[in-house]
Amino acid sequence: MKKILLALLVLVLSLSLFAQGTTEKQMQESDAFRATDANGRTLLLTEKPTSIMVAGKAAVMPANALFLFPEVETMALQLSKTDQGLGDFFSLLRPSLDENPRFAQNASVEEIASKNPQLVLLKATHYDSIAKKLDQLGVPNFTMNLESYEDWKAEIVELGKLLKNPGRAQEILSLYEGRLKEITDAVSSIPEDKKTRVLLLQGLNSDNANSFKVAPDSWMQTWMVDQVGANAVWKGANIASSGWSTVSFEQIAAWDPQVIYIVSYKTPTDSFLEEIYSSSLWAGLKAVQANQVKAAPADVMSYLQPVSSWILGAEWMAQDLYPQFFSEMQMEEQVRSFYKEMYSITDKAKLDYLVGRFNASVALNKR
Amino acid sequence: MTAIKIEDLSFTYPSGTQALANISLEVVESSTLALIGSNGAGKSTLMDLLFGWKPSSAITLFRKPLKEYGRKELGRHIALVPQSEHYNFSFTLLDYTLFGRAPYLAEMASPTDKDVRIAYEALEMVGLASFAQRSITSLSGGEGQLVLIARAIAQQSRVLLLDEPTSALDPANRRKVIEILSSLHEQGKTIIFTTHDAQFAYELATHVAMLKGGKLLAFGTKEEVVTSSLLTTLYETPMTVCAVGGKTLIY
Amino acid sequence: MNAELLYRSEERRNRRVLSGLFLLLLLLSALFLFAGRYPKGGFTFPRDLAENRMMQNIMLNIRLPRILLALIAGAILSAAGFTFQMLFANPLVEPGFLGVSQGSAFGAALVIVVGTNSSAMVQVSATFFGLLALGASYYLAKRFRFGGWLLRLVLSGIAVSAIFSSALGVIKLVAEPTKDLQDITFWMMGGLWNSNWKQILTVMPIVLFCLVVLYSYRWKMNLLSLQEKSAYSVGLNPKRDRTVLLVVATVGTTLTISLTGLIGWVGLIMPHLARKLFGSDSKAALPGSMVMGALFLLLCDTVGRTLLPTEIPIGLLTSFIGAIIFMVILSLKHQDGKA
Repeated sequence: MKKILLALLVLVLSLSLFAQGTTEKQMQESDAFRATDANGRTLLLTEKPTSIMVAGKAAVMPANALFLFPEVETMALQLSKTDQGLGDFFSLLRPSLDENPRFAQNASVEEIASKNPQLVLLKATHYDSIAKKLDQLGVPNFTMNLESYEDWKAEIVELGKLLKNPGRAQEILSLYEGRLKEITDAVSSIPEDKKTRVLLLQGLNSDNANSFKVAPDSWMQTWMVDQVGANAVWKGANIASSGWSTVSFEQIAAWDPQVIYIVSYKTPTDSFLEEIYSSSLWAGLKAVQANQVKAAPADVMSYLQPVSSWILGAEWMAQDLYPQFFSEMQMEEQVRSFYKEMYSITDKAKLDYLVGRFNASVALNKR
Repeated sequence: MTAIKIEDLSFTYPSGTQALANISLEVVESSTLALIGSNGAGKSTLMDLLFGWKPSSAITLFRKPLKEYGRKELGRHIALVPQSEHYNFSFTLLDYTLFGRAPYLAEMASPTDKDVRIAYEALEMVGLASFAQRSITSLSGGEGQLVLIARAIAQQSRVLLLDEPTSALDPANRRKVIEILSSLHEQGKTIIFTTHDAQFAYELATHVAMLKGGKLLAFGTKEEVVTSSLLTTLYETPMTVCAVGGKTLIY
Repeated sequence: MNAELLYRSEERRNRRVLSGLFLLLLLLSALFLFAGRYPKGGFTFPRDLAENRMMQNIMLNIRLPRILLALIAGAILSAAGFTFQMLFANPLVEPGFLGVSQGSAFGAALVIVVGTNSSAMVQVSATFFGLLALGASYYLAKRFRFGGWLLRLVLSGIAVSAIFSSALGVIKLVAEPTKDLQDITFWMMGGLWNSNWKQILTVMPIVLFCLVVLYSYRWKMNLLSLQEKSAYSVGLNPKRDRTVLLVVATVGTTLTISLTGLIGWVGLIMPHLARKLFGSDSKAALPGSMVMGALFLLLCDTVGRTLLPTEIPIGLLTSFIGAIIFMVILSLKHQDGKA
């Protein structure tokens, strides 16, 4: 009897050792898929999610990142409104998203929870208002910033962990790095004093008057202008606030840049260009005289913002500023290849549509 | 000459309470009339009607119906000394007295030198001339009342209305007010005042009108009207009028 | 006789101070034409002005209308604040008191969200709702059963302000977050960077008219701060005069707000300072507050457009500087006599 018991004990012990070992291995594996979000929380899903909701304001950005992963194709998705004013990218990718009306960007936590999502993706700015409360309700959620290139790189990796496809995350990163390197390598030889002076302005229309704003130094827009080898003349100017800030015409005239890019997120840029080129005031500026006031490129979203297509914006600016270094690059081809590689779009009609929108956005620039 | 004639005056508030019923009396120019009665008897309402604050067709001023007077014209004929005033801004006494000159100024005009002089003289009359440049907020309660009187004097009107002029004053200031009003009386001004102080009324007035429950209980010279029995009826409490060493005492 | 001389010499002194301030205003306005961001931040006195087209353009078409707007806005906001303080016999009152500011903000926001980009519509709507708020406060006050007139007006004003503020909040909610919110934010913090000749030439004449009307009441306003009975007994028509002044002050304010957004504190602080400098007699203090208000806003706006490459919303500057001045005023001892 005792011997049997002893044997049993040994057996149980060894088994538990094994189990220990396997659990450890399991733990190691699962740690690999434990993702850290922008607010420092970690989340580990037991299996790949099949239903994801992207909620809150600026849902465009997390949705943008999510669609880079092929897992998306088999998932049920719910997106809040993502039309910035020029069209909806995700409706393009997946028309079925619009079978039911999209829910509002400022939907309440209750409403989000009532739709029973397996996972909610949000911008980190909603941490206090939505994410924490979802935690209390037991709804898994994950926040992202996606504002700077560094954010992008780190958060795509985390998203890859969450979706249990870290390989794809690495693939995405190397695609970006590759494209970016081509730009930065080409412009690295430009000496500081030969860098084109560029001003990037966001155009806004309120009360029948146009006003123009510049971005903070830390934002992607400013960083992009740096990366393409240009001199962002407004650096150091926007210290009063942490967002877009209005600059007067006087200040623009004081900078007198060689090139001005007008970006507009909600409305087409035409009206701003019209006003600038027909104004006797602006006519005194170098950039206007040389026809170097240009609309920033866009298809269904502007390329000059922290969405995945920012790399296209960088490529476009680089070629626009220094054509001599990018004589072989064809923007249309860049657009097509981007969408193929990133979003697996092969439908010729869709690609043509996107390219067509891109061309239209910069059509006015061929003055 | 009749200054004010009131014929069968009745007044009912929009809420339905009847404040005055069938009041008829005549105020002779240069007389001093005291309106006495308990609280709620209708004294204040009568005052309001007398300077046009509430409308009435039963009042004639210097033989012209009150209604027919223009705003400024009326201001030149009747001046009001309210019971109290709030002082929210630090006007000087002279500034404040100058307000009384408004009926003589054109719509958008400012006071002239003549107005300033008249205002100053009014302040002299109430004994506050040396405080002319002081702020009105620095005055004591009694001095404040005097300034209100000065303002009314500056209006140079023939009739002066005073609403409870001494009810908040100490004996010294009370005496001052009596002196000022007496000398105004000597100048020929017609003075009408309300008071609940029958003694004060007797000292100052030539005529007395008794109001009870909105009706005129009695009206006439003070000797006629101020009797123990009438006073007792008026105040519904035992009152006695008696002469002591040449003075009349009421208690 | 002595007092007469004293009074007249006070008057003369006030006139001198007023003229001095006015002169200062003109000088600074001319000086600040040379301040801005072009060609560099700060003051630039170009020697080649005659040939420098860009500089001429900037001075004439950007700076000049903006300076004029600052002057007019400062004058009317200050005068309206002064008027409200006299009419409500309360030195701590602003046009925002009876819901006027909230009403105009709501009116402008409504038009912006609905989508019409016509600036005329914005102004009309702002003025309409500003006056509506004023009327609503009055009407509500008349219906109350208790308290003196002033108390009733205060309470109604609070209620009406609250209604328009929340309505404004609803509009903010309904507006697409990335679309119109920025317009409304500008509205709430104020800014003169949209000024141009067209606006100024349409709106200025009306605001100037309002200033003239208020100025012509400068002595009478004293009497309107007394209780109505007293004002009435010295021959005034208090109800009519108050209505005229309130409407004029409100219209001037709402038209200005429709161009500049909400600029606070000017209507509260400048009248106080004017009274300290000129005495409480509104005959001198009202014109004084107009000039001082114009100076204040001119200074704030010049700082707002010169100090940094980006625009500082003027409401921030007036609040900041205004609050400091306010605290200083409150802590100063009250002097006897001229307060």
